[in-house]
Amino acid sequence: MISVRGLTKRYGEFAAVDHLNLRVEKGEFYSLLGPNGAGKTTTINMLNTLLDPSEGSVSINGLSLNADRNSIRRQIGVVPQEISLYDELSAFDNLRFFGSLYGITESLLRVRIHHLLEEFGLIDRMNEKIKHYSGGMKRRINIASALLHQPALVFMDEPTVGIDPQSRNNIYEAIQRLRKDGVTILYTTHYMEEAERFSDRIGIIDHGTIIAEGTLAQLYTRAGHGDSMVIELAEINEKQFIQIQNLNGVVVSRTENRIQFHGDDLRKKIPSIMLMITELGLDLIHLDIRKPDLEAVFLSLTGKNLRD
Amino acid sequence: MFKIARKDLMLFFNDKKAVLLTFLMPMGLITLFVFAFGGNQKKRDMNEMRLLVADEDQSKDSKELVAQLDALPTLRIEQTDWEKAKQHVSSGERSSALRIFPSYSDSLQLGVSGFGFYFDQARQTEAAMIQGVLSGFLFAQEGDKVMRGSLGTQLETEFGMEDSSSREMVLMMVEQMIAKNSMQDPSVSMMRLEEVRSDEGVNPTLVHAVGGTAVMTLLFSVAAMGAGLLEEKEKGTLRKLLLAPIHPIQILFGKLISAVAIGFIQLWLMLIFAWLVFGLQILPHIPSLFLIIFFTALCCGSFGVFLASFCTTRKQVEGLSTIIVLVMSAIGGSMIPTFFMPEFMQQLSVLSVNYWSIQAFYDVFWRDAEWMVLFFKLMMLFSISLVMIAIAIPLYKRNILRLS
Repeated sequence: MISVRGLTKRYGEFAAVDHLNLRVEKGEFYSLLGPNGAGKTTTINMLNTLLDPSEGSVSINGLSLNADRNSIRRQIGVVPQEISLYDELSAFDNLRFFGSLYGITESLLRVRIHHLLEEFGLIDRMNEKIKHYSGGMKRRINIASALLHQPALVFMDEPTVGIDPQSRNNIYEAIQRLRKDGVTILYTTHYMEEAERFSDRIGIIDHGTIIAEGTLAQLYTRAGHGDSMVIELAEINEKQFIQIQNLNGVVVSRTENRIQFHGDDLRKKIPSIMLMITELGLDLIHLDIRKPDLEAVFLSLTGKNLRD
Repeated sequence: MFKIARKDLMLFFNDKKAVLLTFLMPMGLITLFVFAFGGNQKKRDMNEMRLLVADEDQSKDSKELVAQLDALPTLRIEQTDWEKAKQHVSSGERSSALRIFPSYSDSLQLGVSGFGFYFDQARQTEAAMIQGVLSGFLFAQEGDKVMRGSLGTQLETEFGMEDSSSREMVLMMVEQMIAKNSMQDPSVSMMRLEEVRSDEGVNPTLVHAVGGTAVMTLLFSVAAMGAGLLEEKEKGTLRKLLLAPIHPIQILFGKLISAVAIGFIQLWLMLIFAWLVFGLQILPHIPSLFLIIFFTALCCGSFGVFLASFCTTRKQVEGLSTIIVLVMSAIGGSMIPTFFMPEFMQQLSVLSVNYWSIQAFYDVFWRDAEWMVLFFKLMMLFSISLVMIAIAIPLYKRNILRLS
């Protein structure tokens, strides 16, 4: 469905996206994960025809990005991060306008609008102006407006940011329906649980390039560890931390008095970690052992937190 | 393109406050300007300027002069004594005063001036207009008497013709000769005033006030509409439009179409308002007005699109539009007629939308000009539109479509 080779976007000397390679299969849910400024949005903007790449080739459903942009645009739907709707128009009029840009006939458009509004639970309020909607309701209409022309590929750029649980669940249901209908989805998010819940594959992007890619299980294996452990101490100095870092077989990171441990068979290493803490005379306040997660994978791959 | 225009029109008409401001405020402004220019008066009693007259002679001749001045449609005579007249002019209450000297009647016989004109320098323009009216009138009405008196005096003093009946005979012969020549050649007569043809009851100042105000307010309206394009960019809806399978230029032209449509409605409403309230005769000129309104709206719409493409933020549009619209309205004659301006300003006025539009309105309402004359002005409006669109397109690509 999506085939990207050597995709690069430069702004002067700075490369926002640097020789990125990506392949997303038809019907796949692919999550692009990375901290702010990693190049996620720039990548999506090039794939959805908004930005011209500096280098590289992009093919979407067999169509080259440079050959026929309008044909590609007819096949893709884009849910932007910001709510892009007209406040002074009703939900129905917003959807009718955006749908009409894709050349859908009026009668078919009405059917699709009613169908989508039903699915997103907003049919009763379709004639209300958008300005009277809550943030979550606006986000739902924002998504619906990208689905009117029934795209085969949907780009979703953090579609659940800052919304209430009801709207979030409603959007999750919509995503499940799209997956069921065989729609390909390229998704970016900060919420690990979303990526873990829906993704067939995940690409971890940093400094404009994909540093790891695969299924969740493959990423955990590739990162080379399972569980993680976090301890919170009353106080720790640099010298004491270096001694803890020298423990064999664990990856250690520190945020003030919180220390995080990763590594293969971490559970077996817990006694030696606790012994070290006792020997150093450190005062343990809290201890937490966690199952493997993407945050830990990202940390082990890049040495920094995903939300930095 | 038309879908974008339709959406913009829906957005506009859904915003009740914007609709009220766009359509009602210009009507208020038109009313204000019509009253300011005196366009609410009937043609025959328009521009009545007040003139103080101090008749110190109180003779039959002076009273006759005052009565004739009072009968002029452009002057309202206020009789007073000379001291009070001087006081009123000095205090700025009146712009000017005419003093008829005690020797006025005798001076007519002697062929010399028997009156004086006094005016306030601070109100020079008004005084100059009154002076112009007086000069024309006095030259036409009193010139014969002065000439007769002057010639009679010369016959008596220089030619020794002491017999009054002989002098009278010579004067009659001279008058007959002048009358005969005047019939053969009208230019010989003292003054002959002819107006450009106009429909009975049409007041040119009304045409000016309506035309000038309409274009000026329309320019302000479309500037605000132009800012809508930048609002789309700020809100992210432009990004969504760019993702649709349409050419980016269609977005720009969609905006232009909606601006022209709103301008078209606004101008018609203003003219209908002027017709209903001030009696501006629009009904006999519907086809011509249709064309003028269309090309004026197109020109103003192009101006809005140009502004939106030139600026990168809404604040810039607001600041720049105010300056440009005020300058165009000032040099184009929306605020004051261009003939009041120095020559170089009059030459500059052809660069403004206001000038060509106001002139086109004059052609239709006042001059009853031929189609070709009107056509030329419409083509000028069209040319200005094309130039602004031609400049707007590359700016739009550079400033608006650039995402980062």
